[in-house]
Amino acid sequence: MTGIDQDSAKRFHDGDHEALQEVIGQYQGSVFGIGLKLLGSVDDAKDYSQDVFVHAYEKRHRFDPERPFEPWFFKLALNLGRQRLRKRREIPRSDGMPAEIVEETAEKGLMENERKEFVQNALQKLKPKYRECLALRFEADMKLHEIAELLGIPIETVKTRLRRGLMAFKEHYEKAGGYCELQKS
Amino acid sequence: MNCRKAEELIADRALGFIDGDRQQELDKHLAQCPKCRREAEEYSLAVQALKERDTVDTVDGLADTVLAWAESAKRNDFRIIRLAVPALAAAAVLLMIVLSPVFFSNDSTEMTRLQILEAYAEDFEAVGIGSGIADYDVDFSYEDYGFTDSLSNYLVQ
Repeated sequence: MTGIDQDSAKRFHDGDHEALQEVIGQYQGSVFGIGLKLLGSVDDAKDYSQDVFVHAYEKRHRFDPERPFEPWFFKLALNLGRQRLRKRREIPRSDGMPAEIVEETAEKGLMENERKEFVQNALQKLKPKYRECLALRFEADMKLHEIAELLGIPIETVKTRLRRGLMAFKEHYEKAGGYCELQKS
Repeated sequence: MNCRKAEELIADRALGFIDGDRQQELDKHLAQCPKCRREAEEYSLAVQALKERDTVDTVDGLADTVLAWAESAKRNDFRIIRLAVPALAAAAVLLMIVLSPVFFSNDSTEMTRLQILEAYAEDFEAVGIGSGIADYDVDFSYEDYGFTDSLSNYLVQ
């Protein structure tokens, strides 16, 4: 993980707005990616991203500036993601609702959007614990021991979750026709 | 190695946590198994799909919204401090006024029985038992109620 330096983390803790801006600049891509992988829709991921930064700023006093920033920050992000998933279970969504097309830019084209849709659909079929690990690995660029520490589980369990998550993802992605799209592009 | 075990190793390799020994083992299997070679290819495509992060570098309007919120939160904090300080000061002054008799009174809290009776004299008179308070005081003795001299010293005189 490469992230903000300790000085910026300290300033963030003290409520410095420039440091907040740095945090947003540094992590918005990862947070959005985690949100997208966990929640599966662009609108939810955007809303979630905003929530994460607002919460992080509100709870900044709970962060110990003598310790690394990322584990605290991603733990908070993950907890918010879990909260949203729980709420979603409480308020059931209609099945078969298509995942939103990630970016509707003309240059990237429909094909790429379709592929991203396949990825989101396949991810949403995974158990949340697999999705979490994959999101932390691929969106937050976290190492195995960092994921283990953040989730409070042994490294071997992280490996198992990643492996099973990837195997299940591959199966769903294949069924959705994702490989055809990848090979075409 | 069977294909099922090979698939686990293929997944581990795609995820980047296969060690040297297991890698060699897998390579041997892949060299002779076209089905697993295809699997390996599909796994690397799956990881490639998961790694695609070009969806956003910046989320539209996110930074502006969060920073605007932080700014207004800061203003609210100052507003609360501005209101809270005078309110707390006023509450402290009020409390001091209410409690001042406790701190500044030189009066002894001890009253003789006669003083108590005199203080309530008007009330006693209003209910028709006001006459003869002085007599009542003079005539009164705790000994009449069975208290010894030594105990009477501790009771209101």
